[in-house]
Amino acid sequence: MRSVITFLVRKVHWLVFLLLEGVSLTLVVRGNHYQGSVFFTQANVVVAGVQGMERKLLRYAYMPEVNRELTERNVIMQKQIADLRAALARLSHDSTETERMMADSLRRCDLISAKVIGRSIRSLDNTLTIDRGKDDGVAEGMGVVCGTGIVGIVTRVTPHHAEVMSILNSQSNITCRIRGSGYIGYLHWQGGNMLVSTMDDVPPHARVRVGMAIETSNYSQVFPAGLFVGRVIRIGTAPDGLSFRLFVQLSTDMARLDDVMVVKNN
Amino acid sequence: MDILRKSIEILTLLAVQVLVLNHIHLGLYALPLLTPLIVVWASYDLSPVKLTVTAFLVGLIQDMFAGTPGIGASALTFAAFMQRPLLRLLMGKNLTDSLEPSPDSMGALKFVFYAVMIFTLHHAVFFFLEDFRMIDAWGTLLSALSSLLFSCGLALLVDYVRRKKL
Repeated sequence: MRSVITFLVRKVHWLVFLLLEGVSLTLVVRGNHYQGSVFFTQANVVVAGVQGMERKLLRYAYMPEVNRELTERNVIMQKQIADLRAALARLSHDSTETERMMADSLRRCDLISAKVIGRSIRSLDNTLTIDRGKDDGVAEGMGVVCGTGIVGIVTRVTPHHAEVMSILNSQSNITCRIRGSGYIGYLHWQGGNMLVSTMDDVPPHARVRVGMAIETSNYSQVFPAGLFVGRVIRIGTAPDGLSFRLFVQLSTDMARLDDVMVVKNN
Repeated sequence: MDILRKSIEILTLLAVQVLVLNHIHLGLYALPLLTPLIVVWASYDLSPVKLTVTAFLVGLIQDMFAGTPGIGASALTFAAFMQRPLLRLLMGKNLTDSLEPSPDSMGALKFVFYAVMIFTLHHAVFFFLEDFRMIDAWGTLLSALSSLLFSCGLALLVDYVRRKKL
């Protein structure tokens, strides 16, 4: 402390100089219109630059939250689209019991947001691990979706985590339908390309073309009807020759999955 | 007596500056500034704090009359702060505590160089703050150099007259 005081006493003329210079420069900026406007204009440029950088950093820090919100919004909007489609069908006097059931099941869904904390994509029976469990309301048998489509079905639950059987799993069989025509089939992954799955048991008289959309059907107790699954890229024949085997380009890229939603069917 | 004499010198310089020289603009560029003389004349044994504060006050009064708040004060404060290092640099081992800067104590050439340096430092800060953004850098440089030339010439003349009177 004494050495600090000694130093200050020796350099007191520096302090006086800095103080008086500071006062003079303040007078220059505040007392002269031209210098003041130049100073504050340049200061605004600097401040705007610093605030811009701060916003960029904060935006980056809030990205996980933004991603989660976007995923939730995507799923909700898909539900709304299906709802509106059902309403349109009703107004076009083309409503059926199936359509009404689909609209009703959509309204009963709650969603639990989750993050994928582990996954496998290379084996024949792939699974995912999410960071939500029993304590968060997740239960076995619940469907898992993401902003672009379906992900899988919950198979095992612990208090804070859950294991999900991915749609890229040889045990997975999800009831789907061809959008517009309503013909039902079973989505089943055969292994190999993780962006392509097959839809079997499509009746041979079904009107199907390459490019048609495949969505979840109302026969699924796990997923709300109308969720986009993928698009038909090739039409083949089942091994038994009695039905179509549709090759479906999946809308969900399992390798890049991060934010998902667990569907609670009330 | 010495304090009284110095005070009268400062007040006289200030009066000449604000009443006469502030109204002179040679060729629209040159502005004679004599106030740095108070720094040139300050003896080495004067406390640097006193010199800095005095320079600040003189600069402030000059600004009040010229309508340029802070510019003169800042320039003169800086010149006062640089006086002692400049004297140490020029005089080296010959520097004594009681040194009164003059051609007799320093040598004519060294004194002229010392005075010109003080005026240069003062004018550099003064004209930079006056322009502030250096939009017309050449114009500002011309102003500063022509003012410096005129001020130094006038200052050396005033110093010669002062020494003769003393």
